[in-house]
Amino acid sequence: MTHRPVPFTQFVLKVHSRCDLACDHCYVYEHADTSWRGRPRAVSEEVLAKVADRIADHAASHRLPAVHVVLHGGEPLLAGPALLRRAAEELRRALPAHCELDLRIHTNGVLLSREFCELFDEFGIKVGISLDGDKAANDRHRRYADGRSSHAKVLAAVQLLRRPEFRHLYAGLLCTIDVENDPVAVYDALVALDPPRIDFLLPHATWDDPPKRPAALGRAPYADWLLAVHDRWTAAGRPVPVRSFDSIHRTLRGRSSLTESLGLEPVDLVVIETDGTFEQADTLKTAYDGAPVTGFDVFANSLDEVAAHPGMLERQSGLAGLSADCRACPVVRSCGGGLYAHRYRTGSGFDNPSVFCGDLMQLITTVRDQSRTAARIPAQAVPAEPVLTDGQLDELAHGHGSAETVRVLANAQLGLTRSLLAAVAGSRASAAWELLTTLDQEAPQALDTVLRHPYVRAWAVRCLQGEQGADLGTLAELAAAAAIRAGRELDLVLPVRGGYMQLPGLGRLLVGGHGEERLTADAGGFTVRGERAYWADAEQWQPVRQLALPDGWTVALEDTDPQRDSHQWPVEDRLGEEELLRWQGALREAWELLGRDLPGYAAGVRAGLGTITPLRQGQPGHDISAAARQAFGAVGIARPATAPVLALLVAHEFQHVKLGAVLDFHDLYDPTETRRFHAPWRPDPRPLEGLLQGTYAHLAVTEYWGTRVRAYDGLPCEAADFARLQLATWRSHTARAVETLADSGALTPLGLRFAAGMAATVAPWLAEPVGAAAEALAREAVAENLARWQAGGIAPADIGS
Amino acid sequence: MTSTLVAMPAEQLTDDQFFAERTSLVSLASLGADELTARLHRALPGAEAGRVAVAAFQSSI
Repeated sequence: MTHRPVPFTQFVLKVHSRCDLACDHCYVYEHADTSWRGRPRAVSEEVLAKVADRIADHAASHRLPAVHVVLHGGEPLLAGPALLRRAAEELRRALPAHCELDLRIHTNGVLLSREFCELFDEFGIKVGISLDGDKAANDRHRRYADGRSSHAKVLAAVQLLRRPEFRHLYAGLLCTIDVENDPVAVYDALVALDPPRIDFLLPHATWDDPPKRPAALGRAPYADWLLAVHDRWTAAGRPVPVRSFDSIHRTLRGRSSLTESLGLEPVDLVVIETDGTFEQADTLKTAYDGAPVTGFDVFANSLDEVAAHPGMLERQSGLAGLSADCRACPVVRSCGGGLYAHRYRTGSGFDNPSVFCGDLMQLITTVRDQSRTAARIPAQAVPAEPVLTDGQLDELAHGHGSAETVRVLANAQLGLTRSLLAAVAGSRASAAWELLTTLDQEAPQALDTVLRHPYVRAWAVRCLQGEQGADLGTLAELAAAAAIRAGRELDLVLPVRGGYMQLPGLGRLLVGGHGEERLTADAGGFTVRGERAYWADAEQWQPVRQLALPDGWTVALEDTDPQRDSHQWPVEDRLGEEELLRWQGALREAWELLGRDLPGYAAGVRAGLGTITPLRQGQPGHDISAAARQAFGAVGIARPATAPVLALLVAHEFQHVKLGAVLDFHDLYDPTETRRFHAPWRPDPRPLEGLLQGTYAHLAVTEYWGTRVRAYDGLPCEAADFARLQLATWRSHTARAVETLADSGALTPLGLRFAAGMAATVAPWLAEPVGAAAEALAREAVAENLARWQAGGIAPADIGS
Repeated sequence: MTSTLVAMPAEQLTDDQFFAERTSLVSLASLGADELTARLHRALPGAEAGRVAVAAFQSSI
């Protein structure tokens, strides 16, 4: 596998290495690391200039749209206005024009003055302040070395930032938790200062130096403390963003975390000390003396070199970088193993859950359960999630899937499409939406049949993404199709696109022109521009042709719907009668082959593959086929030369359709995984989902060739030799890819179950005799691809799966 | 092969279980687009496509 470092976009620039407070919970001075003792107090102008150049080079080479620089300490205000001005000037001077600078300073506030604020206003430097809550809470730790309180001065700093002329500089408040403080009093004190945002930080601790847990406060005092604040915050209507809480809510819905202390997102942060040395996350200072060291500095090393440091890569590994306990945890997507530093234990290093694991578990699961209770509609109904039995999951994990299993997936897809339709159209009143909601109550079967058309989801997603080629006119098309299916009399205005009115899943009417036209229709015929015609004999009606094949498989050849271009390949125009007959013959023969040789796949195809979209032919000798994640139930295929190849393409692509439908509702892998992996059938490295999809599809390919080899039963002929070579190649590719997936560390427990299932399916074919010649040729092909991959070869765009 | 209007599916596609759990379009729409798309996050192309979401430095705000 290859690990491409994430470029840095966050830079913590230490401008002063000492502090004017002596907070006893500070990770810089009070924890394991003592490197501050040997650093220059203030950053030099030479270091500032070099830092600015390094960041600028990095931004230019990675085309970064923005970088975030935090002036930090120690206490950064101790650097004084002149040096802070110089830092801002150097950064603005050096950065390329395309790169925005988000410049911030984080301070204890006690020195903040009007002079500083005017400087920050001049350079647009946002100011964050550390404050632990009300006076009693803040005074517990945040004192001067002689014991004096800092509270009054910090409040004065905040009041200065709240003045109208500086309010835009006020970034927010950071509060470190002490469980002996009153959580509600702390929260109320912070909110009273009207901050634009807040965050609560767990105190720094490791397994070697655990956090305090007073006996009277229960087993998870940090969770209890934060949940008390969360309750207060929720009851007040979430008056201010709270970064940790927002991160939990976001990650529970699959979105990214907003803080390194939660979630699986890669860390793209580097610290630059006052002497110009590059360090890893500042908080590692809490683990052991020297923990953040990289050995690099701004004068000798580029930021790309720092990004490739093993310690940096480790913190960009997502799920794979976590301990085994974390990887198996149901809330790992939200927790992410907690802050990296909090996992440290002498002996096992960082390969542990967070020392706050129990607290994080309780916090996240409680927030999750509260969110579910608050939902106005039961979660299980929106959408109807596929309720797969254990046996059905096993079928899918093995690459197969009975008719009933695929029907469960298809029903879930209908629920998904209905939700997407509501998301697209629900907030806009229109005659089409009114008709859709009426039919939803009065003719649900007819409407749902329309919504099962694969390209309805594709259209809805395009609308939500604001993509070209999709608009709300399709609502009227859907309503019209449903009304006709319901046997209702229709009278509705429909769009005319390229001369056609579209009735999704049914066909299209050639009416000429563009814009809109009124369509009246019933079961017998239709009227456009005052002219009545009949479905049965109207030349302008181009129905979607349905092919009824043996054993009850009916499949549409979709050559009318504009959304059928979802497969990333050019689509065929309307098929002529001759081509239609070729398709019919080829499909009949291919279906017979599938039923005979791949019954474990054919049943699912019959239940779930309702649409084949003809694609344009590619270069001679290149078969083209594709599935689309947003079009369940459809595959796109350029009709190949022979029926056996068509059977293979159908089986291959329907694997993608099935797996996509599973991935729509289940996490099989860490979605934040950024590594690229070797796919034995391709010379270019693939993302994890690409490898998973390819492996799943090639499972069917392996079984297809396996059954062909068995059918030839040792017969010496060219076709049999070809089948033996194909089996030798694809079984090897598939088995190796399954191993790569299983060893990636990035699969969830369900993903590992799929890997085990796929391994079990391919295993018997590994023992199938194919002869030494086929084995040797297959080994050569594998070695060649591996060599090209290792050499960094780039695949042409049309290499499959 | 059919060359005219085929208004009914070849077989009954939606089973009784689905109808028992079916939520109306009006009820779904009442959730709003943000809530609905949040619930469907796995099925949708990434909102942050093209950019890797990263973890923000926790010791500043």
